[in-house]
Amino acid sequence: MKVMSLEDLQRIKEKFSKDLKLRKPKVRGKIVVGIGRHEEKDKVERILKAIWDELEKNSVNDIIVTQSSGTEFHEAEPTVKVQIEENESVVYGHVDEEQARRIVKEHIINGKILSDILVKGGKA
Amino acid sequence: MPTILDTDPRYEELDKYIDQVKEKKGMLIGVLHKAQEIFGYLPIEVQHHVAKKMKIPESTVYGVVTFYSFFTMKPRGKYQIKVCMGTACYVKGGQKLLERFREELGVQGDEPTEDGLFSIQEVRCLGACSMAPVVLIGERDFHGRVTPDMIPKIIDEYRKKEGKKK
Amino acid sequence: MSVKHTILICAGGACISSGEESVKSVLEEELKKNDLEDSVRVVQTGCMGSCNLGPIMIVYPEGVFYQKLKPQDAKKIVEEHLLKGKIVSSLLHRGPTGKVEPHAKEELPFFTEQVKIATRNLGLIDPFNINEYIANDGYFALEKVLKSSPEWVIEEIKKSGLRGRGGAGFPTGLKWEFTRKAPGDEKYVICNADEGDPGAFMDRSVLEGDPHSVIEGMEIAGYAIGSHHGYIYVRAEYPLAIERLNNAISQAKRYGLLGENILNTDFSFDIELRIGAGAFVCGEETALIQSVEGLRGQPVQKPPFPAQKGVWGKPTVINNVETLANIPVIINKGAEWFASIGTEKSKGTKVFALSGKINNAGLVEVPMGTTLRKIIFDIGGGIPNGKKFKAVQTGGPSGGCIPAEYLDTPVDYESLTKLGTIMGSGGMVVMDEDTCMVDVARYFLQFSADESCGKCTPCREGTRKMLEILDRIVEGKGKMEDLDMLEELALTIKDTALCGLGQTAPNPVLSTLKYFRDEYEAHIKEKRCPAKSCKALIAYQIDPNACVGCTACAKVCPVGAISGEVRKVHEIDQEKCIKCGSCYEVCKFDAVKKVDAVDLKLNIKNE
Repeated sequence: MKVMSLEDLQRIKEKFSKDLKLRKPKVRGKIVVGIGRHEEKDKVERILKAIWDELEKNSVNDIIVTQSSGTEFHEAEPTVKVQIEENESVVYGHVDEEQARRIVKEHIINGKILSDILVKGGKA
Repeated sequence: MPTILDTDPRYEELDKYIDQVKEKKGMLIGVLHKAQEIFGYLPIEVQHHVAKKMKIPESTVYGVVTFYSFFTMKPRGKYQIKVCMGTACYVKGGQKLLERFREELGVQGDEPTEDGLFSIQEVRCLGACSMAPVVLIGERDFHGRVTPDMIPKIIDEYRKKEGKKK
Repeated sequence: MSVKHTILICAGGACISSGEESVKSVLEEELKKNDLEDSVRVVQTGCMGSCNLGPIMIVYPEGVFYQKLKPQDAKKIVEEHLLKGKIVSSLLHRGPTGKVEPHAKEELPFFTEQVKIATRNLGLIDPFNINEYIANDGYFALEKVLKSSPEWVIEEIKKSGLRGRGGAGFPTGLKWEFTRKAPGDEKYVICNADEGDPGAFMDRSVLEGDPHSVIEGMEIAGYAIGSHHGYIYVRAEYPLAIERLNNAISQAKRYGLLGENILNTDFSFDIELRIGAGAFVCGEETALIQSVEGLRGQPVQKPPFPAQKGVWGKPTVINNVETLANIPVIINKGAEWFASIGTEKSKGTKVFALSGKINNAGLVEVPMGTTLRKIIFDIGGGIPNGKKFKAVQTGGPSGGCIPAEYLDTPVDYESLTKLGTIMGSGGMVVMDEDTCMVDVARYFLQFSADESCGKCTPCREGTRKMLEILDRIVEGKGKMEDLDMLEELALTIKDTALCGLGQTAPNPVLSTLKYFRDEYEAHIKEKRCPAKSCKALIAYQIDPNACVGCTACAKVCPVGAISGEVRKVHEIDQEKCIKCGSCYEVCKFDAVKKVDAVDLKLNIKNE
């Protein structure tokens, strides 16, 4: 089979990109712990650990947890960004371990936004 | 030292290959690769044959054979033990592996063992640095994160394959 | 029956060498046994990058990342995960805090901090399947280019700011322009895949994991400069890359995406493989041309540059593998997009091969300007066993060693040159406190001396003389004047050697002399190797307070130098000891210590 034109390429792409799409994990959402300053790595680790622990305790395994260096809310670091499905992302500020656990219990599991530590989003 | 006779039937295979690539320019290195694959090494008589067949001066062929480390004029062991001397392997003890292999096999340099089974070769980075130190035996058998005391076992594996126990 | 699960198995070099093939065969066997062959699709991909975790398998749609697999683990995954829907937690990656990370690919900084352009398809598509390459926008750039003028292509590459990824960083667009403008109707494109720097495996991974991106890049280069013939010059040490390239070339030809009348246009382009034969110098472009012609790979004087007189005396463009793999993406996404990544003078990303004393050894691609600290500590996960970082070596035998105080340097062509090293092709070998910097310099110099083609005297003789001096120093027989002599020789070679390899061969010595002069001086003045690595200057001793008399050391000693009864303190006979270090490695109680031989007052005669 010869590929003669852009249309031919597009046809192949359409047919096989379905396969590639299956190579992305199906997850419900994402939690991103953000901190810019390097010396506070321990703090990030403690927050991450709290989040993991809480997720595991409640057998939630369709949430991705990552960290990011440098966020747009420097003053509010450490921050935690929560993105569930296609909803607008929500950012919490000055998060400690306790707050991190609350975020998992309230926001991730019950879908309730914690207005007291909110930095961005979450009008709904 | 075994010599290869003019009447050796393997020349036929080599000649066939040379005829195939005749049209292309600059195929000397490719032809020598093929010749080494067929004969195992490139003794002077094979080089002369290639020169004649390709209508290239013998000196040019010899020059190329001696320039590239991949080509050898001496026979090598059936299993070539390639000990990687890349940076990562070196800092992780590649040199010690080399010494241990030589000790275990009782050979020096790249000479083959008496039974012709093994020869040891120091090689340039094999590109498997994350597994350093690495040893490649033959073309495909990678051994990663090798320590000197794993070596007797590795050698035994191949001896067993040949049905020759220690 | 529709596909319920897709399983990606990494078939990169490291995973293959750690047993990927037997994991895969058990997996396939189990799938067959459980009648899952139709509902589970197994795809072998190129290098996923996290080489120290291999063999790796990712199971979709859940996206669960299984690592360090043994053949029997495949059975567990089939029985638990595929049949019962239960994640096999014992096979997951564990973070530094001990918590399991089921979606490691989306969660680990090693993956999330990367920006993949040249390695976009690695670990995602099947390198044997051209359809999957096309599915990820493959050959669309070629199609777009064939509808545009060659001048537009060159302009676009110039605007993107792409510079050669093979070493010196010459602007790719300019190189193409020179070659296009050079008189002559017959022109050539060569892909330099003679990746010879020790510690570098970027090009190998791209060739093995995404061969079509290199082919497409070469075709675009060919169209831009007006050439119909290309060569890929690959090292003979990379048989897997050769196999996958050959396969990709014949697939592309079958699809009419290579060969005569590509995509039904007037443009024709053919690619031939040329296999090297084990000569490092052939990575130098003029030597490479000689070797493509089937001759001894010795460099020739420049000018004329290959753009004017290259292979068969015709204008030739020579690009490295990674450079070419970037081309299709630049054409697809536009020069502005590419130029927005990286720093002012170094655009885009760079692929690095991280190895040596580092936790996450593997392949990483990051934007130019990322700091060394981020690459080594955040992405690379730092130094194993709580050891201290000492230096990072970049640029192979042409590069140098960067000490800890420059860890915050952004990685780009200019910054690295300023530090006395080079970007090179992207090898990054990390060294810790146990690495002796004099020995490292000696190692690289030995490499350059061995690989010197012998054509010019400064390189042939000069590197040898420098090596003799360094050999003396690591044996504790150096003099302080040696350091001046080393420097003088180094600078002379730099100024007078014929080719780039000779000119840069002294770099490892110059950079270690600059940053680690104290280590040289310790070897010379005090006869001590501060890293306790140089054999001639150290001795092994058993600490009587730590030794429990387990006899492990005595058993392992190849020369019977260790004596002692069970449960009593052992001792090493220094006269018999050959310093092989076996006792040191086998002792579980940290009782065998490396000490400076001078402190034992036997050893080296100190005249």
